[in-house]
Amino acid sequence: MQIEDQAIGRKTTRLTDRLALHGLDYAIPTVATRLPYFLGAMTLTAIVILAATGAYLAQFYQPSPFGAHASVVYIIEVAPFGDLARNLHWWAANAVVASILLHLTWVFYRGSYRVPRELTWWVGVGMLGCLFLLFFTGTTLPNDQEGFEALAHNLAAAEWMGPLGVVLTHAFTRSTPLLARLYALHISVLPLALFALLGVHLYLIRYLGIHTHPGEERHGATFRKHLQRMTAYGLWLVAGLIVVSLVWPRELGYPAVAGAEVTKPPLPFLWLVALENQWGITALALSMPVIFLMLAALPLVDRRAVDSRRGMRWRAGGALLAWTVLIALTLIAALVPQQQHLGM
Amino acid sequence: MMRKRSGVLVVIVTMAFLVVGQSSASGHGAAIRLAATVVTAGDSLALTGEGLGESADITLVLESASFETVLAAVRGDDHGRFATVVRIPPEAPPGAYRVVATAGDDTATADLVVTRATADEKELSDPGQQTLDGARADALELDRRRLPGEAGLAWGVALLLVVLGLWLSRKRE
Repeated sequence: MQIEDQAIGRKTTRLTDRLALHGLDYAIPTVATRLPYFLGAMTLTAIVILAATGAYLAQFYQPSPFGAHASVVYIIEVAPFGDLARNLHWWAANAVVASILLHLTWVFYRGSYRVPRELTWWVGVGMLGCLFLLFFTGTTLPNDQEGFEALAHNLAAAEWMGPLGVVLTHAFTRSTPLLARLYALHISVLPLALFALLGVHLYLIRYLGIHTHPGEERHGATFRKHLQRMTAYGLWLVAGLIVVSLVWPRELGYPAVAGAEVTKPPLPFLWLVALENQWGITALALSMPVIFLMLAALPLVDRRAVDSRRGMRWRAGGALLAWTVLIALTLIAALVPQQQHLGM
Repeated sequence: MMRKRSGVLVVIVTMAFLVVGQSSASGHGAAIRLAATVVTAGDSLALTGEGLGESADITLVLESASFETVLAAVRGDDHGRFATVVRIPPEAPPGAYRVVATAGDDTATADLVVTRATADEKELSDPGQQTLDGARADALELDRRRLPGEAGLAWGVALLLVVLGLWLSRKRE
């Protein structure tokens, strides 16, 4: 019996050596074992689901204005597991947006964007931008009424931007439809940028460590234990997304009728409609860049090396205000009747 | 050396299975092929077929859960081969269909997706000049029938993940 135990012990050691699992035994702050510190990992899990389901959906999707809608019908009605894969892709995309916004709020509240973690913050803001662009380009791909209207808004905003937006217009090239170019962005350029930024983000977190406040235990837990809980939460997230996908499948609209504006965008972009109702396409083109510039400027504005309780209270108030405005705009956009914005 | 040989053997056996799978996919020879798997209602579609009886009358039917129509009746040659062009009825609702070719006891099917005419190239590049008639904000009614066991498998995987997560979260380091 003892010999058997020794043999198992030797095998485990060999496996641990081969997989370099000792490298996961480094100490992390006790505070990092709290739930909000898993939000980034939840985002990563959802991104992995997006990559897997996206690769599968790409086998059936036809990125042309004439075939796109029919191919999505094919995915839903004919392709094996196609409906489930599409629903999972949709719900995982929503989960990414929700978890990354909560992660951003927590990092902001904790003041973890300040010296020396400015680059980690900026890389995170870059990833947020990539994820929003991925969500937007994904919305256009089915080429149903909602997707087509998103494409028309993209065109209007790109034209408003002048030479800066020309790459996102039909004028850039007549050889390839805009839908196909947005698809290329969706499956190659943006994921590549996202994963490159993700690599830098994770490296910086490992190098700089988790941000702690004075008085918090800095070495009370191990990363391996953290990873174990992270995996458990990740598995629950996947299970939850499967259930939601089965219960609430993602709908597909009718094939697009050009020139009409009868739909509203999905939830993550709904707040923009309230601004667009008030200030037109200018608000649509400017709001996102302004928000991202504000986020990027944050570490430059708040340069204090030492944090205080008062600072945390201010940030909590700021985060609460931002979420209140976001939710209020979303509710307004959801409740008011659909309006024409593009002067079609 | 032995490893190399067994590797080659594995490749040969795999290839043999692939070839057998390919030929058994068309059953005892009855098969139809469509020039496109996605077609707009009202458009024409070229079909070819083989192994459907000898000089038999072949009926081509377009069918889905809610729509069925005879597309054409053709006469096959000595080997049951035929080639024809049919028109997909303009009134066929968008969705997934099967084209069924029947000649006596021989039957062959092929999947087809029928879509409604969408905006043309000009409309896509210049959305400002088109009519708004017919635009709909509601969702398309789709046949979300899954493969037998697909939903059950998905529920099973979800349950398994929950259990695995519970085990992991309670496991000591």
